[in-house]
Amino acid sequence: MNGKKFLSIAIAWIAILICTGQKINAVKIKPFLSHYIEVSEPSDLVYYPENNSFFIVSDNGELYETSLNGKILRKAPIDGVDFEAITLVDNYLYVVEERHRNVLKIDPKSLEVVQTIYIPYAGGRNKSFESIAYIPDMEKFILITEKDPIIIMEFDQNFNKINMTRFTGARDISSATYHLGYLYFLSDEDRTIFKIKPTNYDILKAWKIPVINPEGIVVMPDHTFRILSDDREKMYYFKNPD
Amino acid sequence: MKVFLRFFGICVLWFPGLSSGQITMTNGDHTIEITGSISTYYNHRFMKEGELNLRKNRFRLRDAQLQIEGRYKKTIEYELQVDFSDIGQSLTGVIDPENPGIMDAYVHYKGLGIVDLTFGYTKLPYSRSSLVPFVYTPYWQRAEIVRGDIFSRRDIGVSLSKTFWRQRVKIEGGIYNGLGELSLRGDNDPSGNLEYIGRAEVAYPSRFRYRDIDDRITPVPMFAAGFNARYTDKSQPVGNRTLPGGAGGEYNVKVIDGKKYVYGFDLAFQWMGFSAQYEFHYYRATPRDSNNFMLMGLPKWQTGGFFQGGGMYGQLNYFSKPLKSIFSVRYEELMLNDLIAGKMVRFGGAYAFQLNGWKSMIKVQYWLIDQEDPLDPLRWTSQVRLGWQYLFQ
Repeated sequence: MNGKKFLSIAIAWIAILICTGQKINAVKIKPFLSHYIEVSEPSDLVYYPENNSFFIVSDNGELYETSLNGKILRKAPIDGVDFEAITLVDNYLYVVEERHRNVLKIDPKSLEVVQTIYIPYAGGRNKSFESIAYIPDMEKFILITEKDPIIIMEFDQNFNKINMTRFTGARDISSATYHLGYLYFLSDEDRTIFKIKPTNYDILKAWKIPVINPEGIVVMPDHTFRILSDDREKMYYFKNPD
Repeated sequence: MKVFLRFFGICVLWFPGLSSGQITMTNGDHTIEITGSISTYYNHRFMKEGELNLRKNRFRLRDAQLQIEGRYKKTIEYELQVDFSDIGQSLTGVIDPENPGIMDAYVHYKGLGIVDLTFGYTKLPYSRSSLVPFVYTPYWQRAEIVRGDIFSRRDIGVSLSKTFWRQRVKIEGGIYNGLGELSLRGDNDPSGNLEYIGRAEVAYPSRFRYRDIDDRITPVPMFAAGFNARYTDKSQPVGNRTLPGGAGGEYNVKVIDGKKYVYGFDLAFQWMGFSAQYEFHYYRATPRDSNNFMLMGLPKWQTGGFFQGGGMYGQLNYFSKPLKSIFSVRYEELMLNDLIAGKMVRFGGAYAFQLNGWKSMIKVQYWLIDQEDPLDPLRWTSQVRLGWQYLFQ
């Protein structure tokens, strides 16, 4: 084989690799507001309509209720290790403890843990469940591993596993939420919000966001996005391009 | 070389997507993760006219690492990392400071509240480049000044650390044996003295992880600056006491029979896939014996009883996500002893193609010698290293 042949094969091979994988063009969007919050190393948030507040979890295993501008109102007396995801279903909070593979069911009024559900996963200690969401039409929870690989695990309301799907549209998924018939996934490494079809997890749209280390997403009742940056400990506001 | 390139090309064409995950176990309070890495390269040196010894043209198993990381509740983290490829070499008495066999064996305690405490054998809080995990670079070798032959990269001891200002400022200080990687042999040197090391770093607008490459295509320019210093007095007691064999490292300046100060600073930047690093280090060594060979036989009125050295390196990198590629260029200088005129100057570069992110990557590095330090004459003019890095993590 001469040098030219080797080079041609190498270029062809690189082209094949570049063209593989699910591709979608992400539109760049910019925040219209951002501010610091009082929670250290925030990793996810959920809107709590009853108090018009947020519940925010942190990498340090802490759960806070905060005002909409991020001021701490209450701290849960829970000795967690690393909380990475949170959602609200039927007036209970569901908090994911990544390293210990636990989902904690918490009463948002008393902030007490009412149930701990262990979900085995042998993958990376810090690459386990980073996202939780509930799909009300299908009455199922989904838990998503962060990366290597990204696996969407589906559970019934009692957390019995019913399905597993690989997601290849991003390098990682750091948060997920459900809003008006669609899932929204957030990728930290790709800095992208994905609008996802809940029935087959196809990517419908994608928006690129200029945020360092985005780890939490929620869609507000006015349809705007709130994004949390872990490293910057800031909250960013985005208009929903839909 | 040509045959090797053909074979290597065929191998990577066949196995582009190989990857597997690590294993994690947990019992509710205690979590253990097992990861590791294997990397092999082929090295080729372009020798000077008349040089016939080509023993460095060979395949080398660089890494055969197994890493166990654990965490108990919120307060204790620990790590044990072993490189089996280097253990074989260290059994012969040779410890490569960049690949010392045991790479980490420490416990990190976060329960004090005010500061975190690290106890055991691990990387020293000196030099940003030294603190960057090597598997997250496109290179096969660090710059000469930070490789571990001028100052040690790992040692046994205790350190305290604290972060401030939303983790953008970190201060760390510690006390160590002072023999670096040779501390693994057990005893201190006859002086019994320890080494003191401190480092402060600040980043903006957020904390800056120990990474050289901006693989997240950071949307906002990020900066980091670090300042570090270290001191030890390894003056040997009167009598026929000497430092352990190999303590001086490749250039006999790593640990000296006398006092040694090292100061340095580092800068890092990243934005939109571009990143840059710069480091500068200076050392001043005062041998106990005014007849020490590193004083070059010069009288004390001329040397002041000490010699100085140091160096720098600068590196520019670009990560292209669509091309799955990292491009990097490096410039480095090293002056081993200011009592002899001359310094080493090298240019270099590296390219890495990510078959599967950092987990499976082909890396190629090139060195070009521009000037040689008179204390370290070389038999080669340039060198190329091509290989495959595979992480099970």
